[in-house]
Amino acid sequence: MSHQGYRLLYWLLPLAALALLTGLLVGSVQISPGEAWAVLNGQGDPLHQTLLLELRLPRVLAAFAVGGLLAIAGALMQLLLRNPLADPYVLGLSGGAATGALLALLSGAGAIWVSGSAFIGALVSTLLVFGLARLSGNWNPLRLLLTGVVLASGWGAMISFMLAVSPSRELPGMLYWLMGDLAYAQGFALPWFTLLLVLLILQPLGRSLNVLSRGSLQAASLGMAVPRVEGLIYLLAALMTAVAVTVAGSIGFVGLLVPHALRLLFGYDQRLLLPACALAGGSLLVLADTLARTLLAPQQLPVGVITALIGVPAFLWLLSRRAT
Amino acid sequence: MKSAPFLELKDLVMDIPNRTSGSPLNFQVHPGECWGVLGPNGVGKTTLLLTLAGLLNPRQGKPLLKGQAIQQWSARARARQLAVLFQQQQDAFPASVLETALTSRHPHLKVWQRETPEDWALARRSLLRLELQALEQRCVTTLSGGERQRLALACLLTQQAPLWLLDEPTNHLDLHHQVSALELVKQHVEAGGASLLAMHDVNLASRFCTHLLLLYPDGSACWGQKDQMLVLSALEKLYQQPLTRLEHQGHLLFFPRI
Repeated sequence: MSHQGYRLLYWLLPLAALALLTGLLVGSVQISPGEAWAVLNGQGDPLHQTLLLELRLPRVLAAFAVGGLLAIAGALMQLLLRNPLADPYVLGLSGGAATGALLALLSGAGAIWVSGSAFIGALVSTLLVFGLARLSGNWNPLRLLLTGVVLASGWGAMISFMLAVSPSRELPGMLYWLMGDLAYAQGFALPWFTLLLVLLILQPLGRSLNVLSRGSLQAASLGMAVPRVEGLIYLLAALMTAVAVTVAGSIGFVGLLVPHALRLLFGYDQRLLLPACALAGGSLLVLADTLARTLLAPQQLPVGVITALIGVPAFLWLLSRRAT
Repeated sequence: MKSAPFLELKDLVMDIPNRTSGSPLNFQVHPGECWGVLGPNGVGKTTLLLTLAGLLNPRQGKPLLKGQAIQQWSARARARQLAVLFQQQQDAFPASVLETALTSRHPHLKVWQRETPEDWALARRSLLRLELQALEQRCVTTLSGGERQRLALACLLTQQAPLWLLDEPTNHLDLHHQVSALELVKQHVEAGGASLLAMHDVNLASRFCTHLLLLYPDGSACWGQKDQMLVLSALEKLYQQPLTRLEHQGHLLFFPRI
């Protein structure tokens, strides 16, 4: 059973490589593998060189890491809230980030400031939910979920308010940010570093995470330090989501769909599920972003539109399959 | 001389909301003993088990596990001594039956350690003992209530702790499986373990337990050897229900008088 799972995991590696390659070669200007090879050897068309190394490579790498972060964050939130319908944004984190980003956009700040204040917004939201749920003394998944949902609608109102009072020339940029867009992705080092760090922390904890799925009381009776592990899961998921949102805006559905689909393939063992989430989530977002760049080329769509267009029917199909 | 007790209750008063009084509990659970906890709904049977497991703090006094206060045990070491069967099983996620049983090896493994082939074999043996071997790869969310309860018992067995605390172990089980679940407990106790069971079936408790603890709705309690506890008037007061007492093949049976 478990060996079979690991074989499946190895199959995801060439799939991820294929997705990355597709993302590099396909676009408004197609590049053949031969031309790409020439560029890598320091020769080739200077246009191809700029396209590949300066535009596509950073974007594709950022897309992969963000997709991986969102998928793992989704899987962790589902585990933490014992609710398979949770996603990375369910606790209002994306709302906090969006409020921060829109505030920066509204005040005419540069891209770095937008990212920075999105990150701060996400952090504020995280601490608020965590603090409010802890304050009551009785930390349980339902209370956490309710606190997050209420806070998220509060952020939603703030966002609507800002959209309503913004000058109309700012609106397209804001909407792109709200839907999630990789065109302005600032660097890929931070998301990759976060992704690898989180995988490194979680891999040895995988078995404990499996125990947690039997409920907090049962896990505690099996000798697990439940509050500590749950706190760690929450903070890691929040960190991953904050980084993802900061880089690419609130891209929906990756965090909900990928863990769901993978559970059907891999079963429930978190030691397999989490690395599989990284590979499949990354591949999915790279492919979705490639579509977003090419569908209406030269015009670019926000990638969040594509993930939702793929995600909605895919999720409904998964749900109907589960019922039979 | 009696062996050292697994569990000792010293002036223990449970922390039950809205109950001001409560008589302190003072008794010892020794290896080879099976304690049945009887009492009406809401009297605190589950609270007692959770308190003894170290998952809830008592209002007063303390439970001692092998002579040491339960709260002083590290959670992992405690879980190697004491296993709990909860009244309700939580499983929001579709793990397989075998995977679920394997999670009970947690206290025996270091955090980063993987399950060894012995752990797998042990989990499979427990499933076999509970007649679940054919369902090994089934998803827990598709099991019937009784199958789930048997899986919970298999998990308990896999945990390999000498002291068992069971909250209504016969829940959801058909008559045959009720008896075999209690036979399992009996075997465990006869092999040198000890158990404490919260139960509603007086007749099953009287057949399988060596000692009984009666928790009355007014907060008082009495305990002792089974034969001294099975008194008609005491049980009628316990359940606030007129009962009929029958003797059949040397066993006492109690039925509600309707």
